[in-house]
Amino acid sequence: MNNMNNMKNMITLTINGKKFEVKGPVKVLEAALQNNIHIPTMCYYPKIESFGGCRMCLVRVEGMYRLQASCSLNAEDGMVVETETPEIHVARKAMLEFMLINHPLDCPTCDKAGECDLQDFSVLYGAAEGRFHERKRTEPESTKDPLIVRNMERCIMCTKCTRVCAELQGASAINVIGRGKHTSIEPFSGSKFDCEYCGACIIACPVGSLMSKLHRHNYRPWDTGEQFDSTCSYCGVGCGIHMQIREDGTLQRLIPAESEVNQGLLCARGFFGYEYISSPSRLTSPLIRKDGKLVPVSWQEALKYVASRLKEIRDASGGKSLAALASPKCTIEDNYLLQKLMRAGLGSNNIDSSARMGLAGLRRIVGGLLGHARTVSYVSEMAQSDAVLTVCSDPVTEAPVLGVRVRNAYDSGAAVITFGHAPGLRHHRSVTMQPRLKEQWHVLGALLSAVLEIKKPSGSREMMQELLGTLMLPTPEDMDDAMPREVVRKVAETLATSANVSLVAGRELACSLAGPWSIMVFAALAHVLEAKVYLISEGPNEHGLLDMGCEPDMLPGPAPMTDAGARRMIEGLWDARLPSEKEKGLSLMEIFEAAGAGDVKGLYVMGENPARSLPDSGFVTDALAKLDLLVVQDIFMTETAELAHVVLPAKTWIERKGTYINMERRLLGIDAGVGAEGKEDWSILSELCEALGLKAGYKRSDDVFSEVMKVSPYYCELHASNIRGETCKWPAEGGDGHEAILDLKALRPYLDIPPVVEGDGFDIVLEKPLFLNGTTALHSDALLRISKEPLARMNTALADSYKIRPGDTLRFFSERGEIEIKAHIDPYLPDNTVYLTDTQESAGILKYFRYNKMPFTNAPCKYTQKTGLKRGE
Amino acid sequence: MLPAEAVSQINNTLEKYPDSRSALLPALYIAQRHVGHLPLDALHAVATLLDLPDAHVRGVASFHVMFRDSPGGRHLVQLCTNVSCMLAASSGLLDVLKEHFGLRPGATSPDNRFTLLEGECIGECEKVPAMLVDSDVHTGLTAESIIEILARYE
Ligand code: SF4
Ligand code: SF4
Ligand code: SF4
Ligand code: FES
Ligand code: FES
Repeated sequence: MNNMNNMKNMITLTINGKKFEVKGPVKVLEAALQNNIHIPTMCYYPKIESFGGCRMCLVRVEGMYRLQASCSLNAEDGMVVETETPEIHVARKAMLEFMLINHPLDCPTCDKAGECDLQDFSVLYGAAEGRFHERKRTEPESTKDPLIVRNMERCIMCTKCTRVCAELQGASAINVIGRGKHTSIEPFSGSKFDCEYCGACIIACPVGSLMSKLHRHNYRPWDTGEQFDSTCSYCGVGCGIHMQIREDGTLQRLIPAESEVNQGLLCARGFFGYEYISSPSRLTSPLIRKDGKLVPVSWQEALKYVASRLKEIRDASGGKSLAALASPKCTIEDNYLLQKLMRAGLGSNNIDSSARMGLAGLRRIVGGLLGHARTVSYVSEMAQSDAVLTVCSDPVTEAPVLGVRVRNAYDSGAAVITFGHAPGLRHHRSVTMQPRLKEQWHVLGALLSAVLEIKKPSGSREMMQELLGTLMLPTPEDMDDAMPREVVRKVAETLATSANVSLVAGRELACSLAGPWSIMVFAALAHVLEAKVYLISEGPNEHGLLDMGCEPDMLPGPAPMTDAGARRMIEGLWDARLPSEKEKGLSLMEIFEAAGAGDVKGLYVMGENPARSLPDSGFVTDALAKLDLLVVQDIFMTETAELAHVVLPAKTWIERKGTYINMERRLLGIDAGVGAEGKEDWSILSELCEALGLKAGYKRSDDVFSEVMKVSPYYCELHASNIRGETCKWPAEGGDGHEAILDLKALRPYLDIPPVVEGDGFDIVLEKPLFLNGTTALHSDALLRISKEPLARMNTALADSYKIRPGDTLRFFSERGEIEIKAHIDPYLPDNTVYLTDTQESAGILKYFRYNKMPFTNAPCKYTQKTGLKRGE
Repeated sequence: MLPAEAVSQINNTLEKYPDSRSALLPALYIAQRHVGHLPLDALHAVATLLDLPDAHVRGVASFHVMFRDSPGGRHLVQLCTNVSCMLAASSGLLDVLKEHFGLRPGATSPDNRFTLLEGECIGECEKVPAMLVDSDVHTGLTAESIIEILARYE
């Protein structure tokens, strides 16, 4: 059947005298391009609708009157096409002449010169002399936006920018303004873009009309020296990024790569967020606290000191008194060695990471129940969904390029249902369900009930059958007050009758106050709907660090701590002893609880800033201050580093090699584009391992990866030398993925419908910022310049009840303290809910929340018992 | 922010259209009628009501001559200057308007009563010259009748 379809779609056409077979439907231009025949274009852009405005792509098609715009003409069987004849050249030259009528020809001062299509085609077709004597357009270049320079004198009105912004990015932030010769491309305000700053319009513009301010007038394309392919390290999407290095070895700019993951897209962090690598506040020298002050010391002294202090504490109080935080910003190699140092060098299972707040629990329960292969879904395939359900997640901020693919799905007709708050999908959703927080998970349960009324689960996963038989669910009727049953049933019907459903969830689900029950409901929904599952990881390498055993109860592989075979194999390979399997390691928050109680005395923090990034950060900071030894390995002096006894400067992803596993479980590589002071994380750890008597001897990060391939039966299928290739997707050979390390028995206590947790006052929902998502972003000047001020957003009714007017300064308070924040009123927000900008590490809003540890996963679920608002004085 | 009256009129209008995109022009008319012109915050309010991107709304408003981005007189006069009307000497009428009401194309009369635009064809070519005052059509204009007609608008 498929074969026949393929045959039917095959088109044979002749281009410049040669016959080609192409798969249709396809435009003539694309058919030519696929066969390496290049036709000049100005307004064509792959992956969006043809526009046919510039007429550069004219070709002659036999039997057709007039020259044809090949970008908008469908290829047909038997077509005979000529792309380069004198007649066509004359026509193209004439089109260029039109474009140049108003063009200022200011190439010497234009940043685009050297990679400008207008310049290149003018050289090619020789439109040097114009026959028109119109006045040039004069309009001063607009530099009012902090990041994008807009020059309308040079614009040729190809509208690529507005079309990529609307059709690809889904932001619709710029448009054609005015008409006739006064037309220009402008953002809504006419000055600042105030957009998502994805950079797509800058990449699309064929001339020097939209340009990045980050390398204004100091960028010449021909100065580019080496170029490297790498992977953005801001989030779990793992976009391919192309690094352009200047001849002097400094970073020129980053541009999106056509990788399978992002296919030419980036978000603001990836496109504009690289200045931090040359920030003057980078750490350059190791520091040791002497007489209360951190003072620079040599690497030798620092590492010797760290090793001896760790040994002292281990020998005096045992491995249990030491702990470490791994980092999703660091590579597989780094995390593997940190874990090796802790387990084999120090005899401690106390290792965890920020993945505890999200992916760790999600992948254990959802992957464990469904089979891990089911949680491997490709970002690019999201766009082909027929229905998408986002569960308390805004993919546009948590995994931006995935969010853009949800928008693309909506634009191609998918039903997009946003459950919970998802402001990024505001213009791209069919239905939104926003129950009050206390009941939201119960409503999700009712949705599952309603789906089960329509669709019976197929397939034979025993564990899922058992789960569906025992999981208690409310009915839509039970939840009628929280969400009208008709809405629930309508959504259930949409989902149950769609062929290709995608489900998205992230940290909010992992930290649900309703406990593991909500995660099981999610897994069951995925099972019944046979849906693709997208589990968002907010760090670039969360899967990688979890695979490397950076969890208290897991070994690298990953394998459970109790797996005798794995223990034997690892102990043999390392020639060292693992801590006893009875030694229950401490999870993320337990580490701080134990530090507060004096049971953990030494903590090794790699690339994390718990003093700002964890809930109840006041408590966390107090616990950090009690430690006898705090070692922080980072690139900046974070709030945590300020409290440290030793600070070790590391390198960023732009300055080093290594590997990540992204949210799709694809192996991705990073490369060293520029040099830097500091040491790579793995090499610091390698030296410490040796100092503690372990065999290390790694010369390059690849050596560490080779060891990983021996330890992990799953990684042995992934080949670091083959990064980005087909073999680097996990699990490499389809299959079910490694069978659950999950014992349903352990989940049995959580099958009942959880009680509704009541609190005083209104609901608080934290809105994640798109631009500032961590320490590195906070040191990127460009991202700071576009970041919005923190706001408390609410609807008119709530504002009225507190007599709040737009722009008022408010005092938001919880039992943990008060914070000043500006009010913003949006009549379309739901009742009784205040949306606070979660600036994460900047304003430290998490300080005002307490946390509960979720049973089974130990994820910290933030909550407040009392919340209130006061008008500021 | 739009006056409540405008918001409810826009909401009523919305119901008559299959989707909000197609209700944009009538919504902009309503907003302009109430505010007098379409500053950015009015465009933003319309965009929010229609759940459309702000820049899209501004793009549409800026394309059409009948929408103004700066305050104008109480009445908008659009005198057609396209071919048929031009042949019927509508340019002479421009002089009349200038003399009698101090009106220049693109400008507002000193008493803030009228704003004059050179309009495009309004489909009344068989009774030229023609003009629109707000949304009223007036045809077969002469130097006398145009003065008389405009006198009716306060
Ligand atoms: S940077 Fe992105 S969001 Fe902003 S205008 Fe350009 S394409 Fe649109
Ligand atoms: S700004 Fe660039 S991309 Fe946009 S219309 Fe002008 S030339 Fe085309
Ligand atoms: S979506 Fe994630 S990986 Fe891609 S550019 Fe943005 S932050 Fe980087
Ligand atoms: S590229 Fe075909 S018309 Fe512009
Ligand atoms: S040309 Fe003036 S109304 Fe048609």
